Amino acid sequence: MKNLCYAALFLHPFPLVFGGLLPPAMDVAVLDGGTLVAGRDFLMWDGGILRASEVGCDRFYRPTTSPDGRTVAVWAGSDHLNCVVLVGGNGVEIMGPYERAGLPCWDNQGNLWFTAEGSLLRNGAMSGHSLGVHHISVAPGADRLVFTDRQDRLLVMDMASGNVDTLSTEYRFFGPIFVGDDIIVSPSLNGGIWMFKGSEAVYVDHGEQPAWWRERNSLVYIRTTDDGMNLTSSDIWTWTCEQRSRRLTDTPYILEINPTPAPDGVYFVDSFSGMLGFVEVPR
Amino acid sequence: MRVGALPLLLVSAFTAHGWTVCLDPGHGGSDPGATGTYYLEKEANLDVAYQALNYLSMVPDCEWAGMTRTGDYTVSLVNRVAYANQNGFDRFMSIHENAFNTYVQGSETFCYSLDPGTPGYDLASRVLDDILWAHGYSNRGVKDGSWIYVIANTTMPAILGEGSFIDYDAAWNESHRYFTNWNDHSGRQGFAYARGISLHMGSTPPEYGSEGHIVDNLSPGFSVNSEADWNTGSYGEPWGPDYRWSSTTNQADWARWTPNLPEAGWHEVSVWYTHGSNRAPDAVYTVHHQGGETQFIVDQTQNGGQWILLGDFPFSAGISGWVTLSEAGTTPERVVIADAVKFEMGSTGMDHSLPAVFGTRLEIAPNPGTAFQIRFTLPVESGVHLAVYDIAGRLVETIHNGAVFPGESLFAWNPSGQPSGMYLVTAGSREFNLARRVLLLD
Repeated sequence: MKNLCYAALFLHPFPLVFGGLLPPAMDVAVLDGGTLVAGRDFLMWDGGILRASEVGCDRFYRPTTSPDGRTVAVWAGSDHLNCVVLVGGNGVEIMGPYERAGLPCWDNQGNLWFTAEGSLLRNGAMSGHSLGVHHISVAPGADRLVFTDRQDRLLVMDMASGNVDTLSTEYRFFGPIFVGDDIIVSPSLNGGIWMFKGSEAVYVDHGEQPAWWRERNSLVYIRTTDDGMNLTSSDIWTWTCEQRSRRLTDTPYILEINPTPAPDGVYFVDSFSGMLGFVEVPR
Repeated sequence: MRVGALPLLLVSAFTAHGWTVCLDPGHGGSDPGATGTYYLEKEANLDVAYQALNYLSMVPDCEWAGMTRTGDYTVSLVNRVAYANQNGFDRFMSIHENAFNTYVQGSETFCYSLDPGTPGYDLASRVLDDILWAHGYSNRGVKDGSWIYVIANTTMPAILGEGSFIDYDAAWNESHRYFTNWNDHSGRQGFAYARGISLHMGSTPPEYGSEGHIVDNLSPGFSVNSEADWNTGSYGEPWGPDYRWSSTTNQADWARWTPNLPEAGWHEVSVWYTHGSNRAPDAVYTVHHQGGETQFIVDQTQNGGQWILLGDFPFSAGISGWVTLSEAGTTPERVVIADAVKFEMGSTGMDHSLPAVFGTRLEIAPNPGTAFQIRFTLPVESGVHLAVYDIAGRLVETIHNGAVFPGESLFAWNPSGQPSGMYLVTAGSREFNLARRVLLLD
């Protein structure tokens, strides 16, 4: 692969947890854990460690950074309760506990959204909408929200009216994300990755873990093969409407997962070693 | 580091709420998994997962049992994990069968940590206990599964089960047991997953056999006259991910659901479809049971998305009974929906779950005849309900309802005013159920 530079930047003595590792700062991350992705410890801005047990939980998952880069929201959970933990330069704030809370996400104005106890919350306060799902993604303008239901249908809620429209029932969708005010990307279990522009559906590629690469106006995702027990190959790809699919890595001995776009390249975790890597992608 | 106001209320309050589980039938699509002589691992895994799903639907505390794969298509490991994580399931159970050299047999489960205090280990232990009950194969133990992708990458406690070695071909052929669902092979294993997680989550587990036997349009026991004439749809609330539909224009298409019933006895037969204004108001279901055939006209324009009871019918064990849906005689220019049929041990007041006592006999002569002598042999005294039912399952006459002494007893059925045809004579008690067909002549 020409002009691409793979560099291992980080090797933690414990299994490194991904879920939304925070490059390029690299000083806030979920570490160690009951499983590879759900850690018991959270690495703080100042190098300290916040343990899940300190917030009454046993695992952290999927930290996500606010638009201004000053705060990280991370989901924390156990069998008995969930919370959303905010970590910033000023310390830690805990929202909850709740019997059930969903994964947090930010809108462009820096509002934090997540579900809890069957309601949609904005900055920890009731928004007035009922919603009993785990994963949501809010449009940059915070006027709409996308999610999937238990029939794996892709649904969009209008924030003003609360009306829910079905965007697609074609495949078994999960984990959809807004990547623009009117653009939604969603993987599916049985139909690859799709992009929706309004009601227009565009097939992206077969692949997994799509993430929006804001600086390049493109999608980043991985394409994997497996033997039913473990990955046998994985590489990072990028996609634009104009150029379609383009391969970014071709590394037989590295199993790239969890791609996280950064201005100059893409961070990832090697599924085999747990090592964090970075592939530089020249403009 | 400053941790602001760690709240005391965090140590509080577990309040009971329902739990969710993601079932993960391994392999699928282009990946067959292990190969047996008669059946592939991907097929067995899906059968077991559906059986587990059926049992879990009987557990009130189970708020949602999702499935990463609902048919024969490829789902990557990465997507299986992402589906579970994004939907926030409480537990994850990956369902697999093993293979080695055709001589090894046994059951095992995997989890992330072998620390007995971890929830993953507890779940793996309980499910393994129940799989051992289900199959009676050797115990290969709970093993370290931290190297398995779906265990290492899910956010919730996760296990992977290897129910049996599907390639085993020494004393019997294991894949044939899955292929024919011998002794409710897949059902028992599916029950094991459902019971194991129910106990693990502190819920009342389902009882074996309580789920009935559901044949969905994706099940091995489902067939149609022509694949080309039956489309796939998912509008409304199908049982499972989808259903099949066919236009009634040619009045010739049919679908069939054939259960592999582990026990003989009376079964309630119910059908599931999704309703709609374009459906046939007069879909023809026919139940083929031990006593003959019984036809029902069902209005598929309404009352869909639920089980519609057709009746209680006698069935032999195995695959000798079935239900058909036919277009013949239905309103033209409509569609008929073929989704699922449930066969559930019936409500005739007898306890069907108990095995027959050794030495108990029920003999009827002459047969065919116009009057019948019923010779009944019991090893011990027992309360017996001896009765005659017609082929629609309606009670015709109670011949005896009370104590019967050990040894041989004689009873008689002298039908008066009954139309000729097939009847079922049944003898039921707390210890046994016996049934014999008799043909009443004019």
